[in-house]
Amino acid sequence: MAGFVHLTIDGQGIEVESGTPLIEAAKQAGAEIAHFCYHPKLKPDANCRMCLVEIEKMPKLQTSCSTPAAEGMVVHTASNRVKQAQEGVMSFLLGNHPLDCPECDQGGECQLQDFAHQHSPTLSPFSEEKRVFDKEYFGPLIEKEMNRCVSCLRCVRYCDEVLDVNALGSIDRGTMTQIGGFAHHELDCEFCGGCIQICPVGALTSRLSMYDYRPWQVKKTETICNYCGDGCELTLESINNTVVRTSSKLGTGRNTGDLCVRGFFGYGAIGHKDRLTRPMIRRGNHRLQITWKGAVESAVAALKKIVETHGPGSVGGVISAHCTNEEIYLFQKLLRQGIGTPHVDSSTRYGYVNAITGLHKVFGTTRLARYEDVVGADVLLVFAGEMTETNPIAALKVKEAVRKHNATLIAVDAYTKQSDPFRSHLPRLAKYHLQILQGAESLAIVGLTKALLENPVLSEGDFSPLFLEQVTKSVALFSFEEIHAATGISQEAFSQAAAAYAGATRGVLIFGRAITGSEEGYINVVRLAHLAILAKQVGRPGTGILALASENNAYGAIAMGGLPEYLPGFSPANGAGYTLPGMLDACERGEIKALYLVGENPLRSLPQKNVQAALSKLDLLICQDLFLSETAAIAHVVFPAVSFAEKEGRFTNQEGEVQRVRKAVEPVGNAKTDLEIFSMMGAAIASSSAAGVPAVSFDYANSEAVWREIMATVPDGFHTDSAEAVSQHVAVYAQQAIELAPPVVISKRRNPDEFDLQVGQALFHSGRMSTYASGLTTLLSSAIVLMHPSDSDRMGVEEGEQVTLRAGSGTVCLPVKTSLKVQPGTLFVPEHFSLDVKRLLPLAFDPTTGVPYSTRGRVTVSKQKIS
Amino acid sequence: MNLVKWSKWVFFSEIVKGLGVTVKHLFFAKPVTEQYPHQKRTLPEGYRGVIVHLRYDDLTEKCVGCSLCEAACPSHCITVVSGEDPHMPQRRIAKEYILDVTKCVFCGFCVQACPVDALASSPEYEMATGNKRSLIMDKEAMLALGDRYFPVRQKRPKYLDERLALFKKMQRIGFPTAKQEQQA
Amino acid sequence: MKLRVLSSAAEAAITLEFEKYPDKRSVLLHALRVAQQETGYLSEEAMRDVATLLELTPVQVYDVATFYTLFHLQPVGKHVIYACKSLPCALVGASALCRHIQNRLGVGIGETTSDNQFTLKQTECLASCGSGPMVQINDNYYEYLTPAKVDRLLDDLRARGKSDLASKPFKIPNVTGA
Repeated sequence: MAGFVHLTIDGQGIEVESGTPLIEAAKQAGAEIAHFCYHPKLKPDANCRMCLVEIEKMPKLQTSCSTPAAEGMVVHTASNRVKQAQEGVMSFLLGNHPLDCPECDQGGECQLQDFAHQHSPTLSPFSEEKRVFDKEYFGPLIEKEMNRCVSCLRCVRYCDEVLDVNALGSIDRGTMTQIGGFAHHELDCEFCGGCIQICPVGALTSRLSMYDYRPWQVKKTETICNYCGDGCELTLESINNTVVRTSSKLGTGRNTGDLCVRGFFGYGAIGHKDRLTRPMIRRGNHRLQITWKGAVESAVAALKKIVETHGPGSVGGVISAHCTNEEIYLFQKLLRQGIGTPHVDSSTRYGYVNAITGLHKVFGTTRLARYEDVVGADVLLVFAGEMTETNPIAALKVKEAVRKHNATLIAVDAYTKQSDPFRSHLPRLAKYHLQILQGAESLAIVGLTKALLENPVLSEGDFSPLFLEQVTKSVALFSFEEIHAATGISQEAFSQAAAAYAGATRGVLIFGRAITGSEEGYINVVRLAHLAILAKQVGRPGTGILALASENNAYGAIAMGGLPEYLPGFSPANGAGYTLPGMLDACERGEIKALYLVGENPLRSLPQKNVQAALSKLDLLICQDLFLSETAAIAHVVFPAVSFAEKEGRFTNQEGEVQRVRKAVEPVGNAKTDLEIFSMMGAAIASSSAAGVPAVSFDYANSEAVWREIMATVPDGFHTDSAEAVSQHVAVYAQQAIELAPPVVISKRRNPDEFDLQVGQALFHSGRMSTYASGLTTLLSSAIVLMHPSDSDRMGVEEGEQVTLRAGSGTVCLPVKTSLKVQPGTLFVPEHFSLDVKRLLPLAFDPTTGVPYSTRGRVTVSKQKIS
Repeated sequence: MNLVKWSKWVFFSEIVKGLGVTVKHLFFAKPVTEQYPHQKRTLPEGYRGVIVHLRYDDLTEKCVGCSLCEAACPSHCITVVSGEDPHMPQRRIAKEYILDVTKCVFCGFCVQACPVDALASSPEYEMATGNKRSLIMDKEAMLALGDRYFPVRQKRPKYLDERLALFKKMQRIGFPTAKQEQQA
Repeated sequence: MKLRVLSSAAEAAITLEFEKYPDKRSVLLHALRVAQQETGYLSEEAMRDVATLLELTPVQVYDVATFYTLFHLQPVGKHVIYACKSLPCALVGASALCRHIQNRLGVGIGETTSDNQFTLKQTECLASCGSGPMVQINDNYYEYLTPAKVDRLLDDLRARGKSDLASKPFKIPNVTGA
């Protein structure tokens, strides 16, 4: 494979890997070669001609970006011939580039500026007028100024090679070549901002932060994004305590410098004007703003009274998985040790807990695959067609594996193979696309397992007979004909996909919310684990399973004991704490009298359940949030917390990677970090606790002190399990009796007006917080319903027209957007806006983990009558 | 020769010569001191007093809010808050421009850094005041001073007219400003 | 996968070519030519149809369509005049000739006469460098042109739809394969 070659660059001998482009080799030798079109992420294009170098024994100058280093090359990067050529190229570029650097947002970090200082001749040979393009409106987020363009086509290539979106093209020809969208329309793409970041000049800039900053004025803070579980490193750039822009440094972080729309344009929520700035307590129907001391004292006094009368078990607490590891640790310490209640839960209860508990049971660990494994895999089995929307950066890794390294992608999801223009879509890249009917994931897994078991070559292996017998029994209930009828996938397709997965050298299995957040979530995770064991794609380096999380610290929340099942470090908790739905039931029964909600809003997330009634029975409801949420509005005490940009700590992403979060701006108003609030609460509880009760210390100087305590008390929390340990655990697991409920068959739709409705995350939003970001609301600000064009044609519904969704007695009117992605007969509604649409869906609970499932249901659709 | 030398020595001629200079200045020379508040001296060409903002001949301000003066300022007395002109899409202006004269060292670096010659060193040096706050000048104050000291204004360059015509055209065809978009 | 403007015959003509190439994108030029023959010019809808057939995004189609002067993004007249502007023709008076055509037709470059007879386009070298100045009108070359010849030519075309000044037939393979 890759050997090393020796060459001489500017008189300096250097050894590089063979195949390295000369421009990179020169960088290693300390010679920076000017370039525009070259970018390490992209294939060399050699269109800007700036990086010319002289190579001895080659008659002409060569572009160093497209010439690989070879043995014995003698390269000159600064000879007179090279200089002359570069000056020539530069004068061509500057011949057309306008002199509007003072007004240009790129001024100060512009490659053309930098290289012009080094390479431009003092006099221009041109006397012609500069070319002028008509100013074109490119949408609300991206600003296009084509006069500045140097036609390096980096943006076009990034959009194609990395994003697989292809929303940009090079339009027209010759000197009037410009970057643009289809037929000069406004841009309608994924808005990842990659083109803005990769543009070497100011041709594409962010319209959201237009003219707000100069690059040298901003304070840069490297932190972790909080919009999904991918754990992308992002640089918050702030002036005067206001975040004006985000970016990501090339090659850093788990995202290696790529961002999605939420990371790039979602910073508006941080300094939003509706943020809570002062603690509040409720007096009658009014909320009074009071001091921190008063709020904490009144909360603790009420808590203490409840604990004294009803016992510590009458207190419950739920924390959002958006908080840092330290905060979640401190929260569970506050409840478990400070108060003494076992009822601690976190928002991972909405689905991710299925993945962790399931995988933990089978493998003894949950950190089974990292992004490097995904990129390096030769076969990817993805049960998450939605991951381009929910986890865009993890999806980039899949795209990289498929497009750069020719991995085989097996996509199992309820989407069509077609996609909407200018949206990336995994089924399009898939070699095997198993397009299942909505809700048929369990049977699809059963089908794959069955196909694997029936293939004698693939299923051989040293599995314990008990394990094989049990798995065979669990899939034997259904014949392939029945599975075909329920999923829409033939036996042949299952066999091919199963053979491809089991035949992989490095196979990685990825699943997301379609598995964890939907019916049979826990069992499906276990089934998938069995599938991976049978295919022998786990327990070897390069193989594994990746569970996608929708919250930035979902993994950390569980590892830090933010669950009734686990204490910090995955050690099982004794005693039965209630889960979140259990707590709400206990509230209704009057068993739980005080509830402490941190960033959690059950009124919104579980609208079908009678949460209002349950919460109204509480003697004390403490809410700690950024905004006055529905639940905070009825709380007795409201603590203003701060966003991820205003605090220090650590997030653990879905791979289990612990990353630092750093403070970029000061908290708004009087808001405090969750850590400070828990410390204050803990100190107040400890000081008022009765004599004889051992006081627990909540005296921490900062998040570092908490982290030191975590590291000291739960050393096992974050260690990576070796492949051998996983294999051993699997061997033990295989000797046990496995109980698997048979998969549920989804009933067929009866008439054409009936639709399968799926509620889920849209690309432009994540939870509730993103709906406060002005950049993201310009893209999507209210609920819509996605419908396949064949359905909308059949019903005679125009794009944008209102339709009525009806289920039982509930109705919701929403505007229609046609999308090729959703299957005919299915609808998709983003979950971020309307509560009413969730009320149409049935609510079910997982028998094992208690996860509330309410993302899928069946509705009838009618064209709204115009009254 | 010796005789001349000897006579100079005998008759204290050097002293007489020296006294002559004294007498000349005492009775015939004009005084060099100026009666400052009543009488002001003419300042040399290129005198660097308070920095002011300039306008073009059509009274539009020259500043484009590029913040290069802020970057060049060695005493960090300039603060520029740039932004899009709320009334004209795509046009960059300084929304706020604050010069803290109490910190200014009158080096004139900002004048040199300005790419559009919007800044100038005025001959104004009488900034003494009882209220220190009045020494923190905003753009309006600086423009007013500029109007006072530089009544002859530069003609607006043609390329800027073209740009302004472009902005006006964009406004006509309903090209929104970034702020309008965010409110929408 | 419903097409907006392209007929099923055109779709068949395009999909027929798929097997000749390693990927569908390679059929793009052929597909655009079929689409242009079908509708006279490449409307946005037609380009979207081509994109759907070739599994590309519309902008990838638009990218190619704007590069070639032989694709029309606007409706064109009956006769499309491609006036060569490359150096050999320019040296023997192509720009003056082009101005003459403009004056004569009363249109600028890229415009169509009000009677929908002529569209004037300027193009790079048409590989007839030894015989400039020259123009291509629809599929015919007209070489060694002078203003007088151009006048005669345009009159002929307007009156009869063809002119005997055409130098030689410019062969385009029959795209439908018939």
